Amino acid sequence: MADIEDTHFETGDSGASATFPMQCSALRKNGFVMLKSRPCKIVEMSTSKTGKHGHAKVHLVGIDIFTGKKYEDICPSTHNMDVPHVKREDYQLTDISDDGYLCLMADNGDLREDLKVPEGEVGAQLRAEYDAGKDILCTVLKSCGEEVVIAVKTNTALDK
Amino acid sequence: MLAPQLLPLMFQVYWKVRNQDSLSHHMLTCLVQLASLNGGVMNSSETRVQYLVSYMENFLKLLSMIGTNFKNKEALGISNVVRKLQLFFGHSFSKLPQALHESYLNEITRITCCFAEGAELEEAQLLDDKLYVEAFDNMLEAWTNIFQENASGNDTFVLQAATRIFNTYLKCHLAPPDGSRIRNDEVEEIEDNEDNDRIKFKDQLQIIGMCGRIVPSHSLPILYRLLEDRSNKLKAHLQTMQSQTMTLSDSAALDNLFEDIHWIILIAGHVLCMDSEGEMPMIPSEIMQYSIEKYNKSETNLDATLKVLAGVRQVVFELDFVDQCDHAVRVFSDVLKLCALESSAAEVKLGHFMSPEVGCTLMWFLKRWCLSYLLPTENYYQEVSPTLIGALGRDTDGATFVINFVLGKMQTNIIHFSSEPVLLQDTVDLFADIVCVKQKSTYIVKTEGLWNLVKLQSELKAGSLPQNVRRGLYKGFVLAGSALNDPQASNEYYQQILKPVQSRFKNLLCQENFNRIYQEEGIKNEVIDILECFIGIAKGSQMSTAQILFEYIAPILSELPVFLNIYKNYQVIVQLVLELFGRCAQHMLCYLSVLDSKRLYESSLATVQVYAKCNANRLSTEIFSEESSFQDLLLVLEFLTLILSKDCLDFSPQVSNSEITITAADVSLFGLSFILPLIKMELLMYPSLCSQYYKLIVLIDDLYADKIANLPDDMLTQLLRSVELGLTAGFGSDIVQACLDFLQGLATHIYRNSLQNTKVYQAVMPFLKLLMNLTLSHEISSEMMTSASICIYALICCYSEQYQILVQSLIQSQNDPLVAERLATAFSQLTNNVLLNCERQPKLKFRDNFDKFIANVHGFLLVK
Repeated sequence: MADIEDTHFETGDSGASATFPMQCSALRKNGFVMLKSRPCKIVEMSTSKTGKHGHAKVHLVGIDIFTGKKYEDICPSTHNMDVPHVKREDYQLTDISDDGYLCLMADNGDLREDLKVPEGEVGAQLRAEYDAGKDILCTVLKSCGEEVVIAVKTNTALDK
Repeated sequence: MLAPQLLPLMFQVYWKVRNQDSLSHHMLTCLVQLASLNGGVMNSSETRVQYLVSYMENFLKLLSMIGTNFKNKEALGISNVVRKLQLFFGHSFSKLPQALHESYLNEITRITCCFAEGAELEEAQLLDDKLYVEAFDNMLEAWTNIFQENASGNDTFVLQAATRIFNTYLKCHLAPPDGSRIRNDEVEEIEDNEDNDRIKFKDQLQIIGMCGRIVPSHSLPILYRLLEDRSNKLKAHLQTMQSQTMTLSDSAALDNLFEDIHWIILIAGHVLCMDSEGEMPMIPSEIMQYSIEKYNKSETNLDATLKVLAGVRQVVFELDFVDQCDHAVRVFSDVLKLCALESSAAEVKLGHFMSPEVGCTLMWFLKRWCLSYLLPTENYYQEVSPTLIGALGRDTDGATFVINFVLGKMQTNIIHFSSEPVLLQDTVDLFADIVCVKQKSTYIVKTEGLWNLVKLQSELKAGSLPQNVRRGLYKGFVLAGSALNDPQASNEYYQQILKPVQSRFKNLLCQENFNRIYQEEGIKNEVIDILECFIGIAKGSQMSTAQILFEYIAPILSELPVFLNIYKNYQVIVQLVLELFGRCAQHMLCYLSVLDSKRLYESSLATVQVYAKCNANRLSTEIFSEESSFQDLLLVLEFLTLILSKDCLDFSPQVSNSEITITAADVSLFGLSFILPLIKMELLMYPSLCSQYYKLIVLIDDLYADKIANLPDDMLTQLLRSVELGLTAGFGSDIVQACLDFLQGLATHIYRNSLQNTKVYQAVMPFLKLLMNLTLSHEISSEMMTSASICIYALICCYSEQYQILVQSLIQSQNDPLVAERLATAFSQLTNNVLLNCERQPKLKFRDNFDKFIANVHGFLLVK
């Protein structure tokens, strides 16, 4: 059993496609979709049709989950759209290196040091709280080969 | 006013100024006013009739002079005249000389038809100013009165009028050569949230339906002939399309055909059935009578009717026996044939040529028809038609056939039109609405069609249907089961429907490696799908079934806190979990026993707690994170508000109060305490969240002021801070009103229970000064003043000493001694002779005093 799990872990997504197809009409708001080849969160979704007896078309407004850029698309509801595999996992922050890399620990104890401190307010808070000796959880967003810390959460004693 | 020269003069003046836009409008308004002349001047019924005769003569003269050449706004004015005449003189019409009355009916029929045509033209040209549409609506309103006055319906003129109006309306909506519909070549983009025809033209269609029912021997044959003709054409089209590619002109012809079919079905649906919101849907008496007459004259018989019904799948229209088929059933059979045609087109991969709009209209018609005609309850009718009862009554093969057909059509829609969200929504609505009626669902649960549908949908892959379809289906399944009175049958039924969903959930969660694979898309889709099913189950819950359904849902609910923790990073799932609790609180809680309610409270509180824990102290880089929190919190607040309804409305078996250890308000407040820290100022800027929040706290305060008074310090402070914010932050008058209500309730509670020297007493105190300042400085708008004064009164009762100090300091702060003196007088008048005991009488007196006080003080404080 153990080696099967290991294999699974190793090949988790290297061989697999970054997206899978889904019929446009089955998408939902707050779900994910690829728009202009970028993984997006659907923030608006509406249907319309051309002419009274026409077929449904889906109008999607999405926000790039990494860059925050807004994209729009309209497509016949019968078409398949690519939906990105999106993973959001929480890691325990164990250290911040001098060159701005985070040392993160997964639930199973695995360590990784390949992600940078996020920029802006979140990064600043992360450093401040870490310096204050607080227990910090980082949410790592992973999709389409990109990976980044998108949220930090200070754990209080009560949470555990 | 009643001088015989007046009316002729007015009409003559109008005719003279008719071509001058600036005058004609005012003159026409005058005529409209005269058409509603009423009151003391009409002292006897003779006077009324005399006046009406005179008005009518002049009016008819005017109409004949106008002919069909209405000036631009004239149609509207004329239609208003007719509407007013009908409204104010309706009862006097029968006393008119026969000839005059007849020519009046003749003329207004003529102009109604004329306006109908004008209206159609306006619709086709997409004009913004819809004068003819409005004029036509006015005329129809007048006709409703005329038809109702003539309920016996033997007046030949009324029959003729109904026929003419029906014909004209139909013609306006059919393409040439049968009709005069104007083709709109502009292909426009139509948003799905726009109203469709059956909503947009609901009022019109209802009255046209009434016209059709007045003359069923005219309207029904026209309708079935048209339907059969158009269906034949559609069939021919489809046959050609199978062998040839479609040209542009084919496509235009097809669109035209669809539009015809769409309108014929809409009109047929309104002729055959009446709107039955909130009432038991019935077969209209005119149709029933007509069917009986036809049967008695041996023009129709049951055998032929059944044969036609049974043959709908063949989609053949030229049958020998079809003329002996009951006319209402014949229209219905034609619609079923269209359904069959649509399904068979989809099966041979021509579904993309069919119109989803027509599909929706078909679903709408089936719903309406089934509600009224399928399995009618015989003893609701004085007389029943042997053909209708024989074909569709209880224990007939016809009824079973129709149920299976309709359920089969739903299946085809789900399989072949899964990409049409609106059509599928109408499909599941049809289902849920039919099974709502117990007389029908008793039969539906026994049919093969239902179990086929259950099986079909269970085989569909998670995530292959548009949102809401799965929940709509489960709502229907669950509702259908409520017809089973026998507990054992009911248990078996729900076992078959619900056990599989429950097992799906358990199997999913019990997978050994669930912790590792939970993020895989297939698993997430499965989770979403299962939650959708449970939301549907909760939505379909009724008094008789809540208990048994809860047995299936409760084990799932108890897993949800853990589950939410796992899926905290996936908003779609988080929101579905929150929504599921909301739906349980909304549709089940009021029927649940004390014990079950407690189980629901526990699971839901644990879930809210997990939600709060996961989101407290969290900072995200995502630009949509605020919007996300807003959506989530709105769901939580809605849920906490819905929970409270248990304390207002409780149908659970009676128990003594001592058994209730935990009330809904405790749950709401406890839940609120978790999420209060998450409700940030910027989130309150979302109006829906803001109003939901204040609605909740006012509701708790109304029901259980004592619970608010006994809150822990932290939470009380936070709550009161939000009330202060609500009063000052400019969220709008509704919110100010809510905050005033909240304070008034709490202050009254403090006073009545003598809570001096408590924390809440201290905490509420600053609001007296705040409110005085806000009212004096105009920051509370004048329409809120009454509520504000009542609130201030309650506060003064609690804090009379502090009030005196406040008054003194206000007076002393005035620089001008004159102003100070006037202010002092005003204050002393305010509370003069007002008892400070929080009772109704003095409160009202204070309110009146306060009005005067504010008017007075605002006067001189502002002048300064």
